Amino acid sequence: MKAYIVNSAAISAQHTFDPDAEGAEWINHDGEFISAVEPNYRSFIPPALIRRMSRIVKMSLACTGKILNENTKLDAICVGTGLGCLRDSEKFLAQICESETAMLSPTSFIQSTHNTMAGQIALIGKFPCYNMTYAHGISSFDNALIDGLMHISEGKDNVLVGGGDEQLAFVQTIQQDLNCTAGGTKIGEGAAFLMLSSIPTENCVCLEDATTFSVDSPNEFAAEIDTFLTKNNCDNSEIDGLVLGCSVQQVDSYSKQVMSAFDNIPALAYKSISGEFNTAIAIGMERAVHWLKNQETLAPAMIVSRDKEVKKLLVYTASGEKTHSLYLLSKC
Amino acid sequence: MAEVLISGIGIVSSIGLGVDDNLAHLKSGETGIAKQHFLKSEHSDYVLGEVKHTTKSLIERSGLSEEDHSRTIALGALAAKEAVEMADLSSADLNTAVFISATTVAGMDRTEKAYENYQDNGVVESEVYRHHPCQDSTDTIARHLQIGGLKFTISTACSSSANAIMHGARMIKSGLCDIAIVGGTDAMSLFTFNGFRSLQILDQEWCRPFDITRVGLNLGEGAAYLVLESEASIARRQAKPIASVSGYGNANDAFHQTASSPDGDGATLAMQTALNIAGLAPKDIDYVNAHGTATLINDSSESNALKRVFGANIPLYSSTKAFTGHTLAAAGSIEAVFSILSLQEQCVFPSLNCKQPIEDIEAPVRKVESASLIHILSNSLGFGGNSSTIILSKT
Repeated sequence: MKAYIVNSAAISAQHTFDPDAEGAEWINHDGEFISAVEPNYRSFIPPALIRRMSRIVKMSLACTGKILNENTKLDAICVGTGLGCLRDSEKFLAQICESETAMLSPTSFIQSTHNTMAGQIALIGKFPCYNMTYAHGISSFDNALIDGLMHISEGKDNVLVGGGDEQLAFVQTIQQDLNCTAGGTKIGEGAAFLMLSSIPTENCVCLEDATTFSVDSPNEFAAEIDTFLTKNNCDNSEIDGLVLGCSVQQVDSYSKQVMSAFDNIPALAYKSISGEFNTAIAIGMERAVHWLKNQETLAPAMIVSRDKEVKKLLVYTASGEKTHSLYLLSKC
Repeated sequence: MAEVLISGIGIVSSIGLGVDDNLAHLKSGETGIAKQHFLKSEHSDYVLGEVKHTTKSLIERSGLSEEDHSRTIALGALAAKEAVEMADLSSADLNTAVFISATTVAGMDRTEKAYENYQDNGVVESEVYRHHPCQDSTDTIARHLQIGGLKFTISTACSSSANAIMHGARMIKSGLCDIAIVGGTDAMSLFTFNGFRSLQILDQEWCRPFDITRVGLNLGEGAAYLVLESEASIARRQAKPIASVSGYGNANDAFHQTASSPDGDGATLAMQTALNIAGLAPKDIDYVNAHGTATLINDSSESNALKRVFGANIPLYSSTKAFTGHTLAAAGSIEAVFSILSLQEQCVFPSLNCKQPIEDIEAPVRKVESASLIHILSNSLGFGGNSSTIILSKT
């Protein structure tokens, strides 16, 4: 399934949202948990609403605010989130634990539902179109993207696809307890949105194809890469760069295997930018789009760095226990 | 012939375990709403639509291997198992089938107990929290039934499992899969019960959908799944379809985070979209299974939407939520199963406890009635303005 990515935005632990802002340099994050660089939300959200909103909803509204203008007619909004609105979930839980019989404030309950991100995009922008939320762990964004691509293949035109997750102190405690930060893994947070269209624009990016598959062995994995490229009439030599779901410090065996299928081409480890979280792949996709459009990347996130024009990129991420996803992007 | 066929259904609700049990209660007009028994809330004066079995018993019946699972998983595993068995899917079929499951509660029934332990005693039960996220119920049920294809988890509040049905239908029509097992599950939890209580939209007594004196909804719990197949798959397996998904639509009300717009904009658009997809005119709909939660706002808003879509000719309609309670993410698929039972039995099930029907629209069906039914429309309207409609047709 194919679509054009005509616009994109990402909030991450680096200055990906507003790279031209003053002082927007690479941030060396210490510690196991890295926070998102958040913009001034007042530019995107009515000030009266900001105070009560969870951070992940604010991040989503800022990203979509950057992409959409008042003339945009959306055909669908598809959002993925691994853990949803954590802050409000905990707030309401804490209220009930304190006293079930007391008068409970409904605000945090209302805001805790997973589809609050997509719901608020529709409510504030007054979009009556199709609106879907997927919450399937590290496949949440992939779920949303498949839905978005289906809409394009069904003849729809403007489809917003995004993903995001926020951090929470209590969840960090659990993550440490479950060894999620072992081996130097940094847990991140953020949101990224892509505008898909059936019509190309100048300087857009083409998402030529996406695939998700399960394998039991490295041989099967190698075969899947070949199958994907062959299906898209693409020779290995045509891939100019890789965008991988790992960090520079921790390159997993599958990312290494992807790299070995190509001849020492530039490779971006997007988790060095985003950190590890369920919908980090959304940031990875936005970074791939940025690389193709602007012919630049954030140097400290490169596993292999070469000054080379890029016209076609292969994006890879693990999307389940034995499941993997590949995306083929090209410059229009 | 229809493009998306249904070859199996499975259901667990407060009116029974399995299709036969649910059908018997629907026909006899016996509600599952009763005094709280399993939830153990301090607000024991609220009636609920609880499934009349302990979590332990549900886990045993489902054949899940471990002893401790969230109630959401136990309910879902039972219902999904029934659907898969009815469809008589082989292990090869299951291995490539797509699984689309919906939930809002997920592991919250266990999480909330663990969190209380944390607040009171500082204990962090990480193993419990590991099973909290939505995908854990989807993955666990899929693993239990050996469903090997792509998995999706949808979480859009009260319209979730209607959306799961729609997503499966679209995937089949797009040629992305031949078989999709779709539906949803939600168990009772203190989090959701108190959440709705804080919104002041619960009725302490038995709810009265489409009644002038209604004051609110009763919460319920349950699960239901459907096996959807392409025509080619049905032909290859020589399976017998029991109904088809002929239309679907999702739209956003974009009015308020929890309350529907007075004129039911989202519901209207969802119904119109579903009719367009089905290639049907409003007059082709023989019965509407309404969302009909019995809140002041929903029933009024949804009635207005029905008028906007059907004009002067409102079809037979009822809300089955006075049987089951509002089963949240499972509502769409539970009510789709009820609609399929209506198609099979050629009868409509009543809006129970409706003594003084609303006057701005025809009264709902209030007792079991035989009817000639070919096309049934079912609405599920969720928080965040999420409005969904499914049209089910006789094969």
